[in-house]
Amino acid sequence: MLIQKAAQKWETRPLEFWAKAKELRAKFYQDEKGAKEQRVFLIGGGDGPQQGLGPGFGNLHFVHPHPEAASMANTSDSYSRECRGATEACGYGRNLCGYQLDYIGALLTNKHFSGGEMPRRDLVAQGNDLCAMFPKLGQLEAEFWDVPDHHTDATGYYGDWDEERSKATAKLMADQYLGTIEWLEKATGTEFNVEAQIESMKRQRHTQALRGEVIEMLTHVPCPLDQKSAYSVLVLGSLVGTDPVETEKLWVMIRDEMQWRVDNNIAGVANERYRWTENEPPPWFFLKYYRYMEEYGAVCIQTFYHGVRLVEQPDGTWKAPKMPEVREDAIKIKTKEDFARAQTGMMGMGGRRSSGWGGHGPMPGEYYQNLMNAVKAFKCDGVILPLHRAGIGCVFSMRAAGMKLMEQGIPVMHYETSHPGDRTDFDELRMLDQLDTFMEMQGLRKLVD
Amino acid sequence: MVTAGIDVGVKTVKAVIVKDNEIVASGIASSDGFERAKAAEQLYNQVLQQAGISASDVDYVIATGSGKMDVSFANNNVVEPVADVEGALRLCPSAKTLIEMGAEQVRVAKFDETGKVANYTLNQMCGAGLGMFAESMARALGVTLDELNEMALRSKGAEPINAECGVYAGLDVVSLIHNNTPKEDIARAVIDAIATKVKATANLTNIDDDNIVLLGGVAKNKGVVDALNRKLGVECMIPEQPEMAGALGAALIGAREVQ
Amino acid sequence: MERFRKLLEDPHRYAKEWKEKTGGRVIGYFSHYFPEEIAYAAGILPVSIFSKPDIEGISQRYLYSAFCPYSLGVLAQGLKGEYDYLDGIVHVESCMPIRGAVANWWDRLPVSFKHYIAMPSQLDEPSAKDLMYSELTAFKRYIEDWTGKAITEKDLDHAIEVYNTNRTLMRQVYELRRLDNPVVSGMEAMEMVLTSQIIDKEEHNKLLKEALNEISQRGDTENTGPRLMLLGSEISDTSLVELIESAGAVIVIDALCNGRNYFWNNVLPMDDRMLALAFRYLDKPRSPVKDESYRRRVNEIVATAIDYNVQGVVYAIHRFCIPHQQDRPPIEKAFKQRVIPLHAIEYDGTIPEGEYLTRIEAFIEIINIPTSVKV
Repeated sequence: MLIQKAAQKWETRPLEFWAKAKELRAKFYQDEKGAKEQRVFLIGGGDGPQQGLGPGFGNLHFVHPHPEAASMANTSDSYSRECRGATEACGYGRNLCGYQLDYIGALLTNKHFSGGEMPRRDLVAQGNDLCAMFPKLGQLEAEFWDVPDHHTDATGYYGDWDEERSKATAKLMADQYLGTIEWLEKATGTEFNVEAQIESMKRQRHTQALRGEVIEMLTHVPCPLDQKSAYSVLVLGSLVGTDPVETEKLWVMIRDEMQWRVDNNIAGVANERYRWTENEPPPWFFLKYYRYMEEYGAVCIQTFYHGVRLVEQPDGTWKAPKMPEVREDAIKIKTKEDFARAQTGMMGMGGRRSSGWGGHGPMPGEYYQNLMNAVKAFKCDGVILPLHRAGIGCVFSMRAAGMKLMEQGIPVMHYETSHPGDRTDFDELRMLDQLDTFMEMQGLRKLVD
Repeated sequence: MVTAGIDVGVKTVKAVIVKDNEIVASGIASSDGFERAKAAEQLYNQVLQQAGISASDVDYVIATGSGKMDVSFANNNVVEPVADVEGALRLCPSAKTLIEMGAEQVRVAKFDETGKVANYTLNQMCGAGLGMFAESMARALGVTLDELNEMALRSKGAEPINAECGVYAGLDVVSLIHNNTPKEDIARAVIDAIATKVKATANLTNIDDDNIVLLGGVAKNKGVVDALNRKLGVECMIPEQPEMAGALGAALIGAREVQ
Repeated sequence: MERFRKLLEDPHRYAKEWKEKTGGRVIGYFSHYFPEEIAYAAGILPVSIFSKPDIEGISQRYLYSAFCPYSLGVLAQGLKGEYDYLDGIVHVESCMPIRGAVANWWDRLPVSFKHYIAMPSQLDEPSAKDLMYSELTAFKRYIEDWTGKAITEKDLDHAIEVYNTNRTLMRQVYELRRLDNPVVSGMEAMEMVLTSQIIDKEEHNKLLKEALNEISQRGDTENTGPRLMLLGSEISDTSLVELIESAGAVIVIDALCNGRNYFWNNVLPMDDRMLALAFRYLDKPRSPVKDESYRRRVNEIVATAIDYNVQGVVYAIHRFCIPHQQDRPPIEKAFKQRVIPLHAIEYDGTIPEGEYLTRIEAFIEIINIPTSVKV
């Protein structure tokens, strides 16, 4: 490959939060396996209001299929393929999303990605994620385990703001929370502790605020935290329901460390000279592509997958939206009804289907604007967008938004991958060639010392 | 100064030797399946002989193509679109867009007169519009690829077949055969499907000019070229040896590197 | 019967002529949960947007090629200007690929009236009817703003009556297929139901009454082949039905979104017309994306198959049609338990006739084998 000399080297240091993040994640999966011994209800299915209700019950452990499937793809090609094969052999179409193929296969083969058997779920609660393709996975899982199941909805309208419609869709979501609480009480025989839940909700908001602060710091040049490293913590406390207290501590640690790195110009990647951003889950089986790009000095900066979209301020800086907890006087949360309404508002559920991350939410115009804002906020030189085969929810605005960015002169690379959870059909060499071309066409070559 | 470019594709390997900016030798051979490293070396030796020089006279060798990493004697390698653009500008200086159609890849790139690539795209997973698809269809009809192209040119029109997936396109062709569709019309359907897929790929790069050059082995297929011209609504330029552009481009890039 | 076929030859012609004749507006819709009665009550002609295989790949510029051919096809139709005569486009939340097609249609093409109805998906949830009611009421409000005219209860009653009549007449057609010697072929039934989605329902009612009259005078027909049920992804023409019946079978019933599911249940009389409409659309036979909690769909389909004395099922699924692919194993299992053979085919917009005819013929042979000979 044609090469260049590195123009500049930033100072860099190992990440101190790394070990704690790894520990938290490992504990989560240990708890999954030890749920029975710990007399905790193991709950399958994903998305939906139930995900955050653990603290209110104290004896629930939620296991979301997506991060399990992502871990499957990341852990072992042969294992992931074996699971996919089992799913296809059952008659599920090969064009299903890779997460589903992996996860159903793990159930069928009874193999957990970290070794041993798949811990048996006691219940399944499935929400209708903004990706409408997932609710059926909850159905299948409940039938597989032959356990009680509960399903919730998620919807929102597109179009101009309409107060009545927003109230109605928000009410649906708030009702889902209350209905889910009622069902969990019945299914687990445990009374919901609203005070504990409200305490946890405040902690969760604080964690989300910390996350926002960290994302703001990623606008710094050099970026203190590259996205590949950030993936280690991205879903902790959300899709992977790690302990809320420990998760909050972790994010305090991350925030403090990032602040120090910004103050001292410590880079996530030493040879940062080109910044690019992305969206949607990456191909979990091929995360090495981030390090490959770094050979060009090209560093991935943030992704909407963090769930934070910065807003431009009058002074030209970019800030994360303020979390409601700072408006204590506006929020009086005492009862579970208050909690349901407040949570609906915070999670952006109900109302207009916009913002959010990925192609799950916005229409092409809005998605393009979100990406353009990211390019400006994070001072990016280019954008790389995946087109996930069978990842319909991820990509329906992806191509159109990318084309619009190109029309505005922003270099964009679309690449086809099989699916974040599924390596089948993925041509590694072609992907690397595409990355090389993307770099070379912008006058960049691989760096040497 | 003498440089060489080697383009190792799935089906063929191409080599060009450039001396002081002029082409002095070129050649093409089969990639020989799994033996493409050997095929590349053999071809390289042949063109060296053609040029009347030895390997030590060559200042720089650059490899390109899907098999570029197999060329052990190359000093360096470059990605295909970049080599293609370089080659395209040499072969057709007025070109602003290239469409490179190979055995298993279609690449489209927009560029300026300096060779700076503004936009490019390529087919990825699904590919009815490829050389290998055309060959397999030709085999199914019991003809050669050249005959397939000529038959297509004789047809007055054809039912469109699936242009997205080679598997489904193949099924559609089987259906046409079952329905006793004239061979010429089946050939035309296949050729049109290739052109359709190429055009759909090209649409992803905002093609908006008339200065399109066709490269790659498939650019020698008259039927495909005719279909593509029809679908794009322009008369595309085709250099004399369209399949050599990548190797030529690699050699020219090598010359710049040495300088 | 020939009239239905002619209407389908050019599915746009009727709406264009209607516009010219009446000066009225036409709204196109994708999902069959669209509350047509509300638009009809406002004097608007609702038409279903049919898909055609996007052979040229023009929609791939906006919508990734690994989407179902149906969604690629509808967007391509829009991009080619085939639906330029539409004054409005309304979408009711259904599956994501169609949402993608709508999103890009709205983004790229000028449309005077755009509306998205956020229909719930968990239709068994108690809160579903509240949201549906709210969304339909909002839609009515938006239509009134657009037309500048209020929709009265009388307008709604008229629309409901016209639509209910159409549904009842279509049920009568479908009842005739229950007979041992069905006097209506699958092709004819499909032509009738597809045309109902592209012309004024009042006119369609007239055609249906005439057709039923014609049919009542038929003697024995040639529809004596194996009785099949057709399931699967949405279709926009009769080519698949034609293919299956050309192999010697007769499709006696279907569970397609724009087949039986389109007209099966009526709007029931209620004081609150909007609530009546909400219930009607919530209560339709389930499609996969609206059957995400307590699985009504599998039992509905099997019960219907038994009711129609079906001997075999063809499940025709589009490439990348994820909801149907997810539903296939439980449906296959349910039919297996009833010893009703099921044959699944996957296709990508175009139907490879030769190949698939062979498969259907083989499937029919399996059904025709006498029980004592089965291994």
